[in-house]
Amino acid sequence: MKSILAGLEAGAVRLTEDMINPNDDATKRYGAIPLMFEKQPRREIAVGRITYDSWRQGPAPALRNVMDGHLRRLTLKAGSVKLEIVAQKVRNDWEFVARVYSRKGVRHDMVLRVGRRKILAGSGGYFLWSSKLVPRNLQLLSYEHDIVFEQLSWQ
Amino acid sequence: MATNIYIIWQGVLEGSPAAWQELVGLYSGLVNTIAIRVGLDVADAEDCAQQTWLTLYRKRSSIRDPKALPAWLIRTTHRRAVRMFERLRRGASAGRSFEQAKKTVTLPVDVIEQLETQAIIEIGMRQLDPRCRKLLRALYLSPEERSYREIAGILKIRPNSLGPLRSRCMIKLRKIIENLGFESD
Repeated sequence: MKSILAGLEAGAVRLTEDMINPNDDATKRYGAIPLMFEKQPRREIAVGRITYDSWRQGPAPALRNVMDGHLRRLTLKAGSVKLEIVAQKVRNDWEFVARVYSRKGVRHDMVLRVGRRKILAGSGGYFLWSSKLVPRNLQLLSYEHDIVFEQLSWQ
Repeated sequence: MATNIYIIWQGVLEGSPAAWQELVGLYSGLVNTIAIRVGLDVADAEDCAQQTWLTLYRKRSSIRDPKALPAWLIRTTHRRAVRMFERLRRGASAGRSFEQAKKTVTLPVDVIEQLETQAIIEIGMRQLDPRCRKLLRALYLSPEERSYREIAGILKIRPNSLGPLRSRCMIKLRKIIENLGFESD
């Protein structure tokens, strides 16, 4: 790195026009990365429950896991934290989209744990993943507390 | 107190979330800028940057000297952004016009070097006191050229105090940049 301040004094460096900071939401997601890897110190654990399940009014159980394009919508809640999931059957796989909300809107500082897999939200706060297996155990991890949701049934 | 990159990096190596967040705060502008300058839109650039940060966290123990971080972040983001851009260009989902799609995406070395310098100065400027920041921005980073008299007016000081103040502010900035692990001159 040569002559940093000389460049500034000579007018060779222009800051305001060129550096583009990411929005705060993206910075929060990047900040949550250690949750993906490290075992965090013991934190408070909240329990979350299903508050909406489209299968309660949905197709007959015999069709649920076989119909291509079939959707299941779920909302799970723990206090003010809400996890919304849309699951879609695509051929032999399930594709999932999830988002976490709090009173202030979409949360970007949490990691979703699906079974053993940990997922970091992408742009817009969406968690995207696909799997041949349906998830039964979901957790949300943050630096303040973890949320363990009641087990999902896919029957 | 000036940010010391060696202390932050030590915290990152020890798994401190606060140190990691501080590091992200320092360099997120640089990483994002590289991805956008390659040609990615805002959402794709954020995802590309996220991959860079994930890779850095995974490989953090292989980086011994934190002075190498800006160059490492630039190189990794640039390579990933170019690959991502090429993939989007090839894919039907790119949604870009032909004119946009045929642009060369690899950034020239001098642009990359300039961005690295800018990032370091920007980080240093953020840590300066407001008066010095205002003065140095007015002197060196303002789009319009201003006379010493005008700048002194903005800062509400006598024009003949501007030179000594400028020197003091440059010394402060030099110290901050050196604490970040870089040679200022």
